[in-house]
Amino acid sequence: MSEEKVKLRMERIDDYRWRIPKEGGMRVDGIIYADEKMIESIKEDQSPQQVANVAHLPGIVSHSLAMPDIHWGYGFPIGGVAAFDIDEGVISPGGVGYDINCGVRLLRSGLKHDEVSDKMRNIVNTLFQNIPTGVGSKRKDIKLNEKEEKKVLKEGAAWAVSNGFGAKEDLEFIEAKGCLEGAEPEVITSRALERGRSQLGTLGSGNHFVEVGYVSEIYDKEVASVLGLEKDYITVVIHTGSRGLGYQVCDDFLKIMINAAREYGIELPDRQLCCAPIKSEQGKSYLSAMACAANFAFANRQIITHWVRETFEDVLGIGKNRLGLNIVYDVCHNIAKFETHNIDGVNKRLCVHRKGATRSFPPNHHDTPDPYKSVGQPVLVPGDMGRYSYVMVGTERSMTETFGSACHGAGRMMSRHAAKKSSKGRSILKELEDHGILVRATGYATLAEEISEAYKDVAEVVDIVHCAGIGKKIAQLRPLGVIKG
Amino acid sequence: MTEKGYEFINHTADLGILVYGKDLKELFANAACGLSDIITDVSRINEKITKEIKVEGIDLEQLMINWLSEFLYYYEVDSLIFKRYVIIYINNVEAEEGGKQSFFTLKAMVYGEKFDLERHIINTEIKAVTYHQIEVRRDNDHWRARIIFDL
Repeated sequence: MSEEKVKLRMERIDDYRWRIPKEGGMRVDGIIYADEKMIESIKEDQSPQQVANVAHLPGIVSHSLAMPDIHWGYGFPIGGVAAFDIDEGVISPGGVGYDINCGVRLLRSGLKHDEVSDKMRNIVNTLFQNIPTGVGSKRKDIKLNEKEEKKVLKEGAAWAVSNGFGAKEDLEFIEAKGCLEGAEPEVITSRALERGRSQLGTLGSGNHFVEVGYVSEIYDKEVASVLGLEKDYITVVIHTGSRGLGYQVCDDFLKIMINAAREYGIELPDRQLCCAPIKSEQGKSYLSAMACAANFAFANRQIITHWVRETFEDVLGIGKNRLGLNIVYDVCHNIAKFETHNIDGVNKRLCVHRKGATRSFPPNHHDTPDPYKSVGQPVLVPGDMGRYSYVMVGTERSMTETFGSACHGAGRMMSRHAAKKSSKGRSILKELEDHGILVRATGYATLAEEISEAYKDVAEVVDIVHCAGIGKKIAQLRPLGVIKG
Repeated sequence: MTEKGYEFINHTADLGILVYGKDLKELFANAACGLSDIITDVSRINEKITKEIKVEGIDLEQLMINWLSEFLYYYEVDSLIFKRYVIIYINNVEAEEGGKQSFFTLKAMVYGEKFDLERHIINTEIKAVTYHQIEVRRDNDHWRARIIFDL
């Protein structure tokens, strides 16, 4: 496939939105959420062309969207949102991503920053001991046979709770209550199952992490208080997904979908957009496999939550209730969901693909947890390792404009190689420590790749989302200690 | 042409390799070397274990993806890392009359050992071998490939 830099037309809609007008094989316009400064850097990579490519797919509804953390991805851009009519539309594994249900969970606590600051090193070291990060590291208390693993794939976070990891009360505070329907493990290949078995209860590496931090800023006191967030209180963020099982499912289905696209006569501007009609056999199989992988990830985050709680209890000698490490919310950022949206006055059932994007439902929405119905669904936006993260809530406008979606994180800007080069001669570990952030990692080489300069400034991403009205800024979190693979 | 048979190329979020080989067998072996080089410090691997690998693909690109994906699988599931790759054959199996379309098969012997936290260093973990800009082609008197990995 040739790599021509075709000049894409882009028009400013308003301060925070840019349109890529429909042309050629595009069925709808593209819309990128960005401000004037950010759109210039966005134009530097291939991602706007990817937004345009997604618009070619059959059954796409309204617009091919991208959030401000947009960057180049495989087929679909990262930060991409695309919704499809369930009768006319397609499902595409590339619109979900390799790491199915990579997502973020936020825990709040009853501990104040100054109560734990002198114990941070101990907390970080113990977290590192208790939470396996990658190859060769596994805990003996997770031993799965195939039969049990299939239960994990069907039940998700509920499986973890039934097996002693956390409590029933946790489930309400997870997107989809920690379990996607329609997960039939028969569609999962034995290779994917094997990879899953060896990795349930592990964090993974790259940009996956567990981060202890504190609430550094509150932007809306009333909403923050409903979410249980108060300035200076300790928080924990868990960022991980479906591990090798998810990657294998994506891999297995990319092959199936390349053939399916041909079978159904779907023209693809990029092979990685391969897809099948939602109602086809291949489409249904993928959706089932995706649900299995998503459930694996929900279970994974639930298990890790339990180990985080245990770590704090052990190190601080404080009981569960006083610790109050409760889930604020857990969101997916690589997923496809069946949702009802109002299109031109009609309620339509759509399949919404979010790849590097987060659901952002408003107050009073049926799927916004009861305790949050007055304020909206929490949207968790982690930044890079050395900076801040944000908590937002969903809005009515996001339902109208983006199928109830918002950004997911900072978005990479610099290649790993460039980041490594930029880090040469620097001790990233020491730099972070000097900023009061302790890090334990399995592979310190990845630290160089994860430096702040390699990422967009998440504050800018969040501000654009906030100003565009598709999310509301509620709180800022700052890191104190991080563990990574 | 580099001595190693491959070189790294950059992508914003990920990493790729450009691979060279005097023939298809050397190309595939060099690609696997490139992959190990990304994951770990290959000089620290001893050849204690031998494995026979057999993969298929509908075209050379898919064969390359399936070949390299084997190593991700063995790494994750069995904690194995490899250092040397001997390709025994790469064959094109003809299409059957009214049946299966043509495909490629590969058989290799690979040499390495189980990952040991004490001795081995992990540079980067690779999530997947992608289709992005994938290329396996003949170029005059040698072969070239380009593969991008999702990290």
